[in-house]
Amino acid sequence: MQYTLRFLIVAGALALAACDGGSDAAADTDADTEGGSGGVDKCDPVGAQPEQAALFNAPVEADVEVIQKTPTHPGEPGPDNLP
Amino acid sequence: MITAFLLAAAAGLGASQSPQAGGEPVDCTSLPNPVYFPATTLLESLLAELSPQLADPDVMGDDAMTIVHFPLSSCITYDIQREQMPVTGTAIFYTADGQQGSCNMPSDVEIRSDLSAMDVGGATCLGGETPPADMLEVPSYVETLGFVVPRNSTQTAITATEAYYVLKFGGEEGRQVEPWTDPNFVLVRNPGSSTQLTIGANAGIAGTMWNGALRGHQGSSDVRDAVIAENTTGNAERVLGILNSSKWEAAADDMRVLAFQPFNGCLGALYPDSTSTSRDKRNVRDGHYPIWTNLRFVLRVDDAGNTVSDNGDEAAARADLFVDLMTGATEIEGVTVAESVIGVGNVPSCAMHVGREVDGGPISSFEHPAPCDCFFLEQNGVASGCDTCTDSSECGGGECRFGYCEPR
Repeated sequence: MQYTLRFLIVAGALALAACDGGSDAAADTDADTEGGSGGVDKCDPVGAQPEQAALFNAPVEADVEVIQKTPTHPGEPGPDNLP
Repeated sequence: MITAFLLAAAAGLGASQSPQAGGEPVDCTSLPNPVYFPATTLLESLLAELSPQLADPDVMGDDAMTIVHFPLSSCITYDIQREQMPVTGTAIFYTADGQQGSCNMPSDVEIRSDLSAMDVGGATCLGGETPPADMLEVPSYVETLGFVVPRNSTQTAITATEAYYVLKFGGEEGRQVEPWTDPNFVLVRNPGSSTQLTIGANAGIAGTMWNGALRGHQGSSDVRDAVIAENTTGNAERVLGILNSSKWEAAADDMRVLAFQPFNGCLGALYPDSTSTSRDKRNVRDGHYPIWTNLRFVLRVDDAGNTVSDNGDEAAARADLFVDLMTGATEIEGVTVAESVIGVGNVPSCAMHVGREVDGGPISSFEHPAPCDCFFLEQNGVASGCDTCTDSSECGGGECRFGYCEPR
Protein backbone atom coordinates (compact mmCIF):
# COMPACT_ATOMS: atom_id res chain seq x y z
CA MET A 1 0.00 0.00 0.00
CA GLN A 2 2.79 2.40 0.95
CA TYR A 3 4.63 1.41 -2.19
CA THR A 4 1.55 2.10 -4.29
CA LEU A 5 1.10 5.51 -2.68
CA ARG A 6 4.73 6.40 -3.27
CA PHE A 7 4.42 5.33 -6.89
CA LEU A 8 1.34 7.48 -7.37
CA ILE A 9 3.11 10.50 -5.88
CA VAL A 10 6.10 10.02 -8.18
CA ALA A 11 3.85 9.45 -11.20
CA GLY A 12 1.85 12.54 -10.31
CA ALA A 13 4.98 14.64 -10.02
CA LEU A 14 6.18 13.41 -13.38
CA ALA A 15 2.83 14.13 -14.98
CA LEU A 16 2.86 17.67 -13.57
CA ALA A 17 6.37 18.17 -14.85
CA ALA A 18 5.32 16.90 -18.27
CA CYS A 19 2.60 19.57 -18.40
CA ASP A 20 4.80 22.30 -17.05
CA GLY A 21 4.98 24.14 -20.33
CA GLY A 22 8.71 23.69 -20.65
CA SER A 23 9.74 26.84 -18.81
CA ASP A 24 13.39 27.64 -19.29
CA ALA A 25 13.51 29.50 -16.01
CA ALA A 26 14.38 27.31 -13.03
CA ALA A 27 17.67 25.59 -13.66
CA ASP A 28 19.93 23.23 -11.80
CA THR A 29 23.64 23.15 -12.14
CA ASP A 30 24.89 22.67 -15.66
CA ALA A 31 25.17 19.05 -16.76
CA ASP A 32 24.61 17.70 -13.27
CA THR A 33 24.82 13.92 -13.22
CA GLU A 34 22.46 11.93 -11.06
CA GLY A 35 21.55 8.33 -10.62
CA GLY A 36 18.05 6.91 -10.40
CA SER A 37 14.77 8.55 -11.23
CA GLY A 38 15.19 11.70 -9.18
CA GLY A 39 16.00 15.12 -10.50
CA VAL A 40 12.72 15.89 -12.26
CA ASP A 41 13.44 19.28 -13.77
CA LYS A 42 11.71 20.40 -16.91
CA CYS A 43 10.74 19.16 -20.31
CA ASP A 44 10.01 20.73 -23.67
CA PRO A 45 6.48 19.78 -24.72
CA VAL A 46 6.36 19.18 -28.47
CA GLY A 47 3.82 16.90 -30.13
CA ALA A 48 0.96 15.08 -28.43
CA GLN A 49 2.19 11.53 -27.97
CA PRO A 50 1.03 10.41 -24.54
CA GLU A 51 2.15 6.77 -24.78
CA GLN A 52 5.63 7.79 -25.82
CA ALA A 53 5.78 10.45 -23.09
CA ALA A 54 4.82 7.80 -20.55
CA LEU A 55 7.72 5.65 -21.71
CA PHE A 56 10.14 8.58 -21.57
CA ASN A 57 9.06 9.45 -18.04
CA ALA A 58 8.76 5.98 -16.56
CA PRO A 59 11.00 5.78 -13.48
CA VAL A 60 14.45 4.37 -14.14
CA GLU A 61 16.51 2.06 -11.97
CA ALA A 62 18.88 3.59 -9.44
CA ASP A 63 21.93 2.62 -11.47
CA VAL A 64 20.84 4.57 -14.55
CA GLU A 65 22.86 7.72 -15.18
CA VAL A 66 20.63 10.76 -15.68
CA ILE A 67 22.08 14.12 -16.64
CA GLN A 68 20.29 17.33 -15.68
CA LYS A 69 21.40 19.89 -18.19
CA THR A 70 20.65 23.57 -18.23
CA PRO A 71 19.48 24.15 -21.81
CA THR A 72 21.52 26.70 -23.73
CA HIS A 73 19.11 27.46 -26.56
CA PRO A 74 18.10 31.12 -26.81
CA GLY A 75 14.36 31.03 -27.51
CA GLU A 76 11.19 29.03 -27.11
CA PRO A 77 11.47 25.28 -26.69
CA GLY A 78 11.50 23.35 -29.94
CA PRO A 79 9.20 23.61 -32.94
CA ASP A 80 5.41 23.74 -32.77
CA ASN A 81 5.22 20.08 -33.67
CA LEU A 82 7.29 17.14 -34.83
CA PRO A 83 7.99 16.55 -38.55
CA MET B 1 15.32 17.64 -56.74
CA ILE B 2 16.53 15.77 -53.69
CA THR B 3 16.69 12.53 -55.65
CA ALA B 4 18.79 14.19 -58.32
CA PHE B 5 21.17 15.46 -55.65
CA LEU B 6 21.43 12.05 -54.05
CA LEU B 7 22.09 10.23 -57.30
CA ALA B 8 24.75 12.75 -58.25
CA ALA B 9 26.32 12.24 -54.84
CA ALA B 10 26.22 8.47 -55.31
CA ALA B 11 27.96 8.68 -58.65
CA GLY B 12 30.63 10.89 -57.12
CA LEU B 13 31.21 8.48 -54.28
CA GLY B 14 31.58 5.53 -56.58
CA ALA B 15 34.10 7.35 -58.69
CA SER B 16 36.31 8.61 -55.90
CA GLN B 17 36.25 5.96 -53.20
CA SER B 18 39.20 3.60 -52.81
CA PRO B 19 38.54 1.67 -49.62
CA GLN B 20 40.87 -1.29 -50.05
CA ALA B 21 43.10 -2.22 -47.14
CA GLY B 22 45.88 -3.06 -49.52
CA GLY B 23 46.47 -4.10 -53.09
CA GLU B 24 44.87 -2.94 -56.30
CA PRO B 25 41.11 -3.18 -56.75
CA VAL B 26 39.99 -6.26 -58.67
CA ASP B 27 37.13 -6.67 -61.13
CA CYS B 28 33.95 -7.23 -59.07
CA THR B 29 32.60 -9.69 -61.62
CA SER B 30 35.66 -11.92 -61.07
CA LEU B 31 34.71 -12.62 -57.45
CA PRO B 32 33.14 -16.01 -56.64
CA ASN B 33 29.33 -15.91 -56.45
CA PRO B 34 29.06 -12.14 -56.06
CA VAL B 35 26.03 -10.58 -54.36
CA TYR B 36 25.74 -7.00 -55.61
CA PHE B 37 24.64 -5.11 -52.54
CA PRO B 38 24.27 -1.33 -52.32
CA ALA B 39 23.61 -0.77 -48.62
CA THR B 40 23.72 1.80 -45.87
CA THR B 41 27.16 2.68 -44.58
CA LEU B 42 25.91 1.72 -41.11
CA LEU B 43 26.31 -1.91 -42.17
CA GLU B 44 30.07 -1.70 -42.59
CA SER B 45 30.98 -2.99 -39.13
CA LEU B 46 28.58 -5.93 -39.30
CA LEU B 47 29.62 -6.97 -42.79
CA ALA B 48 33.26 -6.95 -41.70
CA GLU B 49 32.27 -9.67 -39.21
CA LEU B 50 29.91 -11.73 -41.34
CA SER B 51 31.12 -11.44 -44.94
CA PRO B 52 34.18 -13.67 -44.34
CA GLN B 53 31.92 -16.40 -42.93
CA LEU B 54 29.58 -16.16 -45.90
CA ALA B 55 32.52 -16.38 -48.30
CA ASP B 56 33.95 -19.48 -46.64
CA PRO B 57 33.17 -22.76 -48.50
CA ASP B 58 34.02 -24.68 -45.32
CA VAL B 59 31.08 -22.94 -43.63
CA MET B 60 28.67 -22.34 -46.51
CA GLY B 61 29.53 -25.21 -48.86
CA ASP B 62 28.24 -24.59 -52.38
CA ASP B 63 26.26 -21.60 -51.07
CA ALA B 64 29.41 -19.58 -50.33
CA MET B 65 29.00 -16.03 -51.63
CA THR B 66 30.98 -12.82 -51.87
CA ILE B 67 29.10 -9.84 -50.50
CA VAL B 68 29.99 -6.92 -52.77
CA HIS B 69 29.04 -3.92 -50.65
CA PHE B 70 28.55 -0.48 -52.14
CA PRO B 71 28.43 1.69 -48.98
CA LEU B 72 25.96 4.51 -49.63
CA SER B 73 23.27 6.51 -47.89
CA SER B 74 20.06 4.58 -47.30
CA CYS B 75 17.78 6.29 -49.78
CA ILE B 76 20.40 6.15 -52.52
CA THR B 77 20.57 2.38 -52.13
CA TYR B 78 16.79 2.25 -52.25
CA ASP B 79 16.67 4.21 -55.50
CA ILE B 80 19.33 1.99 -57.07
CA GLN B 81 17.36 -1.13 -56.23
CA ARG B 82 13.95 0.32 -57.06
CA GLU B 83 14.93 1.83 -60.39
CA GLN B 84 17.36 -1.02 -61.20
CA MET B 85 20.11 1.34 -62.18
CA PRO B 86 23.44 -0.31 -63.02
CA VAL B 87 25.75 -0.49 -59.98
CA THR B 88 28.92 1.46 -60.68
CA GLY B 89 32.16 2.49 -59.05
CA THR B 90 34.08 0.79 -56.26
CA ALA B 91 32.80 -1.72 -53.74
CA ILE B 92 34.14 -3.46 -50.63
CA PHE B 93 34.32 -7.23 -50.17
CA TYR B 94 35.90 -9.70 -47.75
CA THR B 95 37.60 -13.00 -48.42
CA ALA B 96 37.07 -16.09 -46.28
CA ASP B 97 40.23 -15.37 -44.30
CA GLY B 98 38.88 -11.97 -43.27
CA GLN B 99 40.91 -9.81 -45.63
CA GLN B 100 39.14 -6.70 -46.89
CA GLY B 101 39.52 -5.88 -50.55
CA SER B 102 38.02 -3.50 -53.03
CA CYS B 103 36.71 -4.08 -56.51
CA ASN B 104 35.63 -1.97 -59.45
CA MET B 105 32.58 -2.55 -61.57
CA PRO B 106 33.56 -2.96 -65.22
CA SER B 107 32.48 -0.08 -67.41
CA ASP B 108 31.59 -2.19 -70.45
CA VAL B 109 28.78 -4.23 -68.86
CA GLU B 110 25.67 -3.19 -66.95
CA ILE B 111 24.98 -5.15 -63.78
CA ARG B 112 22.06 -4.49 -61.43
CA SER B 113 21.85 -4.92 -57.68
CA ASP B 114 20.60 -8.20 -56.20
CA LEU B 115 19.24 -6.51 -53.09
CA SER B 116 19.79 -3.41 -50.97
CA ALA B 117 19.61 -2.45 -47.31
CA MET B 118 18.67 0.75 -45.54
CA ASP B 119 17.81 2.06 -42.10
CA VAL B 120 14.56 3.75 -43.02
CA GLY B 121 11.50 2.48 -44.85
CA GLY B 122 10.89 3.02 -48.56
CA ALA B 123 7.99 5.32 -47.78
CA THR B 124 10.36 7.71 -46.02
CA CYS B 125 12.69 7.79 -49.02
CA LEU B 126 9.69 8.38 -51.30
CA GLY B 127 8.46 11.31 -49.25
CA GLY B 128 5.49 9.41 -47.84
CA GLU B 129 4.37 7.68 -51.05
CA THR B 130 3.50 3.98 -50.97
CA PRO B 131 6.48 1.89 -52.16
CA PRO B 132 6.05 -0.18 -55.34
CA ALA B 133 4.55 -3.64 -54.83
CA ASP B 134 7.65 -5.40 -56.17
CA MET B 135 9.90 -3.92 -53.48
CA LEU B 136 9.78 -6.29 -50.49
CA GLU B 137 11.13 -4.75 -47.27
CA VAL B 138 12.32 -7.29 -44.70
CA PRO B 139 12.85 -5.76 -41.24
CA SER B 140 15.85 -6.74 -39.17
CA TYR B 141 17.76 -5.53 -36.09
CA VAL B 142 17.78 -2.13 -34.38
CA GLU B 143 20.60 0.34 -34.91
CA THR B 144 21.07 3.03 -32.27
CA LEU B 145 21.89 6.54 -33.46
CA GLY B 146 22.95 9.64 -31.62
CA PHE B 147 24.99 12.79 -31.22
CA VAL B 148 28.72 12.32 -30.70
CA VAL B 149 31.61 14.53 -29.63
CA PRO B 150 35.39 14.06 -29.68
CA ARG B 151 36.87 12.43 -26.59
CA ASN B 152 38.48 15.75 -25.67
CA SER B 153 35.16 17.60 -25.53
CA THR B 154 33.68 18.12 -22.05
CA GLN B 155 30.08 17.97 -23.29
CA THR B 156 27.94 15.13 -21.96
CA ALA B 157 24.35 15.85 -23.04
CA ILE B 158 22.11 17.60 -25.55
CA THR B 159 18.39 18.32 -25.37
CA ALA B 160 16.01 17.92 -28.30
CA THR B 161 15.43 21.66 -28.37
CA GLU B 162 19.14 22.39 -28.44
CA ALA B 163 19.49 19.99 -31.34
CA TYR B 164 16.57 21.68 -33.10
CA TYR B 165 18.26 25.07 -32.88
CA VAL B 166 21.65 23.77 -34.00
CA LEU B 167 20.32 21.78 -36.94
CA LYS B 168 17.74 24.31 -38.13
CA PHE B 169 19.61 27.58 -37.67
CA GLY B 170 23.22 26.42 -38.07
CA GLY B 171 24.74 28.93 -35.68
CA GLU B 172 22.79 31.93 -37.00
CA GLU B 173 23.23 35.05 -34.84
CA GLY B 174 20.66 35.11 -32.04
CA ARG B 175 19.85 31.39 -32.49
CA GLN B 176 23.08 29.96 -31.18
CA VAL B 177 23.51 27.05 -28.80
CA GLU B 178 26.80 26.99 -26.92
CA PRO B 179 29.27 25.49 -27.61
CA TRP B 180 27.98 24.32 -31.02
CA THR B 181 27.81 27.77 -32.62
CA ASP B 182 29.99 27.27 -35.72
CA PRO B 183 28.30 25.22 -38.48
CA ASN B 184 31.71 24.16 -39.79
CA PHE B 185 32.05 22.02 -36.68
CA VAL B 186 28.58 20.48 -36.84
CA LEU B 187 29.29 17.29 -38.76
CA VAL B 188 26.20 15.85 -40.41
CA ARG B 189 25.45 13.52 -43.34
CA ASN B 190 23.04 14.34 -46.21
CA PRO B 191 19.26 14.37 -46.84
CA GLY B 192 19.24 10.71 -47.94
CA SER B 193 20.97 9.42 -44.83
CA SER B 194 18.91 7.32 -42.43
CA THR B 195 20.98 8.71 -39.58
CA GLN B 196 20.08 12.26 -40.52
CA LEU B 197 16.43 11.44 -41.24
CA THR B 198 15.97 9.60 -37.94
CA ILE B 199 17.74 12.19 -35.81
CA GLY B 200 15.80 14.93 -37.57
CA ALA B 201 12.52 13.27 -36.68
CA ASN B 202 13.54 13.29 -33.01
CA ALA B 203 14.86 16.85 -33.09
CA GLY B 204 11.80 18.44 -34.68
CA ILE B 205 13.47 19.36 -37.97
CA ALA B 206 13.19 16.95 -40.90
CA GLY B 207 16.50 15.57 -42.12
CA THR B 208 15.79 17.05 -45.54
CA MET B 209 15.49 20.55 -44.07
CA TRP B 210 18.68 20.95 -42.05
CA ASN B 211 20.65 24.16 -42.36
CA GLY B 212 22.82 24.18 -45.46
CA ALA B 213 25.77 25.67 -43.59
CA LEU B 214 26.29 22.47 -41.57
CA ARG B 215 29.19 20.32 -42.79
CA GLY B 216 27.76 17.38 -44.76
CA HIS B 217 29.40 14.00 -45.28
CA GLN B 218 28.59 11.09 -47.59
CA GLY B 219 29.15 8.19 -45.20
CA SER B 220 29.12 7.48 -41.47
CA SER B 221 32.82 6.60 -41.58
CA ASP B 222 33.51 10.08 -42.93
CA VAL B 223 31.72 11.65 -39.95
CA ARG B 224 33.53 9.36 -37.52
CA ASP B 225 36.92 10.25 -38.97
CA ALA B 226 36.13 13.98 -38.99
CA VAL B 227 35.01 13.94 -35.35
CA ILE B 228 38.09 12.04 -34.23
CA ALA B 229 40.38 14.37 -36.18
CA GLU B 230 39.20 17.31 -34.09
CA ASN B 231 40.66 15.83 -30.90
CA THR B 232 43.99 17.42 -31.68
CA THR B 233 43.02 20.69 -33.39
CA GLY B 234 42.00 22.65 -30.32
CA ASN B 235 38.39 22.71 -31.55
CA ALA B 236 37.09 19.57 -29.84
CA GLU B 237 34.68 21.51 -27.62
CA ARG B 238 32.94 23.04 -30.64
CA VAL B 239 32.37 19.76 -32.47
CA LEU B 240 29.03 17.93 -32.70
CA GLY B 241 28.50 14.93 -34.98
CA ILE B 242 25.76 12.43 -35.79
CA LEU B 243 26.60 8.73 -35.91
CA ASN B 244 25.49 5.14 -35.31
CA SER B 245 26.39 2.99 -32.32
CA SER B 246 28.48 0.42 -34.16
CA LYS B 247 30.79 3.24 -35.26
CA TRP B 248 31.07 5.09 -31.96
CA GLU B 249 31.50 1.92 -29.91
CA ALA B 250 34.37 0.79 -32.13
CA ALA B 251 35.99 4.21 -31.64
CA ALA B 252 35.29 4.57 -27.92
CA ASP B 253 38.84 5.73 -27.17
CA ASP B 254 38.42 8.71 -29.47
CA MET B 255 34.79 9.79 -29.22
CA ARG B 256 31.70 9.67 -26.97
CA VAL B 257 27.95 9.58 -27.50
CA LEU B 258 25.95 12.30 -25.75
CA ALA B 259 23.02 11.66 -23.45
CA PHE B 260 19.81 12.92 -25.08
CA GLN B 261 16.73 14.52 -23.54
CA PRO B 262 13.77 14.11 -25.92
CA PHE B 263 10.80 16.43 -26.26
CA ASN B 264 8.32 15.62 -23.49
CA GLY B 265 11.04 13.78 -21.58
CA CYS B 266 11.20 15.15 -18.07
CA LEU B 267 13.68 12.91 -16.28
CA GLY B 268 16.72 14.55 -17.85
CA ALA B 269 19.11 13.39 -20.53
CA LEU B 270 19.87 9.68 -20.81
CA TYR B 271 22.44 7.67 -22.70
CA PRO B 272 21.43 4.81 -25.01
CA ASP B 273 23.02 2.54 -22.41
CA SER B 274 22.25 2.75 -18.71
CA THR B 275 25.45 4.74 -18.12
CA SER B 276 28.10 6.44 -20.23
CA THR B 277 30.36 3.41 -19.93
CA SER B 278 27.97 0.45 -19.90
CA ARG B 279 26.89 -1.47 -22.95
CA ASP B 280 23.39 -2.76 -22.34
CA LYS B 281 21.27 -0.41 -24.54
CA ARG B 282 18.85 -0.43 -21.64
CA ASN B 283 17.36 2.97 -22.43
CA VAL B 284 16.91 2.05 -26.08
CA ARG B 285 15.28 -1.24 -25.24
CA ASP B 286 12.84 0.12 -22.65
CA GLY B 287 11.80 3.33 -24.43
CA HIS B 288 13.77 6.05 -22.59
CA TYR B 289 16.08 6.79 -25.55
CA PRO B 290 14.20 7.24 -28.84
CA ILE B 291 16.91 7.74 -31.46
CA TRP B 292 17.08 4.37 -33.19
CA THR B 293 15.91 2.76 -36.36
CA ASN B 294 15.31 -0.67 -37.91
CA LEU B 295 17.50 -2.02 -40.68
CA ARG B 296 15.52 -3.22 -43.72
CA PHE B 297 16.69 -5.49 -46.48
CA VAL B 298 15.02 -4.78 -49.80
CA LEU B 299 14.41 -7.57 -52.30
CA ARG B 300 12.64 -7.41 -55.66
CA VAL B 301 9.80 -9.91 -55.94
CA ASP B 302 7.51 -11.08 -58.72
CA ASP B 303 3.71 -11.24 -58.59
CA ALA B 304 3.92 -14.56 -56.71
CA GLY B 305 6.23 -13.10 -54.09
CA ASN B 306 9.34 -14.90 -55.30
CA THR B 307 12.65 -13.05 -55.14
CA VAL B 308 13.96 -12.02 -58.54
CA SER B 309 17.26 -10.60 -59.74
CA ASP B 310 18.37 -9.24 -63.06
CA ASN B 311 21.49 -11.36 -62.54
CA GLY B 312 19.55 -14.63 -62.76
CA ASP B 313 17.90 -17.26 -60.58
CA GLU B 314 21.09 -18.27 -58.76
CA ALA B 315 21.76 -14.66 -57.83
CA ALA B 316 18.19 -14.32 -56.56
CA ALA B 317 18.60 -17.48 -54.49
CA ARG B 318 21.80 -16.13 -52.95
CA ALA B 319 20.07 -12.86 -52.08
CA ASP B 320 17.24 -14.83 -50.51
CA LEU B 321 19.61 -16.96 -48.45
CA PHE B 322 21.58 -13.92 -47.33
CA VAL B 323 18.43 -12.19 -46.06
CA ASP B 324 17.18 -15.38 -44.39
CA LEU B 325 20.48 -15.71 -42.55
CA MET B 326 20.59 -12.05 -41.54
CA THR B 327 17.06 -12.13 -40.15
CA GLY B 328 17.39 -15.48 -38.38
CA ALA B 329 14.89 -17.25 -40.65
CA THR B 330 17.69 -19.66 -41.57
CA GLU B 331 20.69 -20.72 -39.51
CA ILE B 332 23.96 -22.26 -40.68
CA GLU B 333 26.53 -23.47 -38.17
CA GLY B 334 29.52 -21.16 -38.26
CA VAL B 335 27.55 -18.11 -39.37
CA THR B 336 27.24 -16.08 -36.18
CA VAL B 337 24.64 -13.50 -37.12
CA ALA B 338 23.06 -12.98 -33.70
CA GLU B 339 26.42 -12.75 -31.93
CA SER B 340 27.81 -10.39 -34.56
CA VAL B 341 24.74 -8.12 -34.57
CA ILE B 342 25.14 -7.65 -30.82
CA GLY B 343 28.91 -7.58 -30.95
CA VAL B 344 29.02 -4.53 -33.18
CA GLY B 345 26.62 -2.59 -30.95
CA ASN B 346 23.20 -3.36 -32.39
CA VAL B 347 20.06 -4.79 -30.81
CA PRO B 348 18.15 -7.76 -32.24
CA SER B 349 14.41 -7.14 -32.19
CA CYS B 350 13.98 -10.01 -29.72
CA ALA B 351 15.75 -7.89 -27.09
CA MET B 352 13.52 -4.83 -27.66
CA HIS B 353 10.55 -3.91 -25.48
CA VAL B 354 9.42 -0.96 -27.59
CA GLY B 355 8.72 -0.54 -31.27
CA ARG B 356 7.55 2.08 -33.75
CA GLU B 357 5.40 1.87 -36.86
CA VAL B 358 6.74 4.95 -38.63
CA ASP B 359 10.38 5.94 -39.13
CA GLY B 360 11.30 8.30 -36.35
CA GLY B 361 7.67 8.26 -35.18
CA PRO B 362 6.37 7.70 -31.67
CA ILE B 363 7.47 4.58 -29.85
CA SER B 364 5.11 2.26 -28.05
CA SER B 365 5.39 -0.82 -25.87
CA PHE B 366 6.12 -4.05 -27.66
CA GLU B 367 6.73 -7.61 -26.48
CA HIS B 368 8.60 -9.90 -28.85
CA PRO B 369 7.02 -13.35 -29.13
CA ALA B 370 10.41 -15.01 -28.55
CA PRO B 371 12.45 -12.68 -26.31
CA CYS B 372 16.24 -12.97 -26.03
CA ASP B 373 17.11 -10.51 -23.25
CA CYS B 374 19.32 -13.00 -21.39
CA PHE B 375 21.41 -13.75 -24.47
CA PHE B 376 21.65 -10.07 -25.39
CA LEU B 377 22.94 -9.06 -21.96
CA GLU B 378 25.38 -11.94 -21.67
CA GLN B 379 26.77 -11.20 -25.13
CA ASN B 380 27.44 -7.66 -23.93
CA GLY B 381 29.22 -8.89 -20.82
CA VAL B 382 26.33 -8.02 -18.51
CA ALA B 383 25.26 -10.65 -15.98
CA SER B 384 21.66 -11.51 -16.81
CA GLY B 385 20.97 -13.77 -13.85
CA CYS B 386 19.58 -16.31 -16.30
CA ASP B 387 20.48 -20.01 -16.20
CA THR B 388 22.31 -21.55 -19.12
CA CYS B 389 20.54 -24.36 -20.94
CA THR B 390 20.56 -26.69 -23.89
CA ASP B 391 16.84 -27.44 -23.89
CA SER B 392 13.65 -25.74 -22.67
CA SER B 393 12.96 -28.67 -20.34
CA GLU B 394 15.74 -27.25 -18.14
CA CYS B 395 14.04 -23.86 -17.83
CA GLY B 396 11.20 -24.50 -15.39
CA GLY B 397 8.44 -23.32 -17.69
CA GLY B 398 10.58 -20.80 -19.55
CA GLU B 399 12.15 -21.18 -22.96
CA CYS B 400 15.73 -21.98 -23.84
CA ARG B 401 17.03 -19.57 -26.50
CA PHE B 402 20.62 -19.05 -27.60
CA GLY B 403 21.75 -21.09 -24.60
CA TYR B 404 19.90 -19.19 -21.85
CA CYS B 405 16.60 -19.73 -20.05
CA GLU B 406 14.30 -16.86 -21.00
CA PRO B 407 11.25 -16.32 -18.76
CA ARG B 408 8.85 -16.98 -21.62
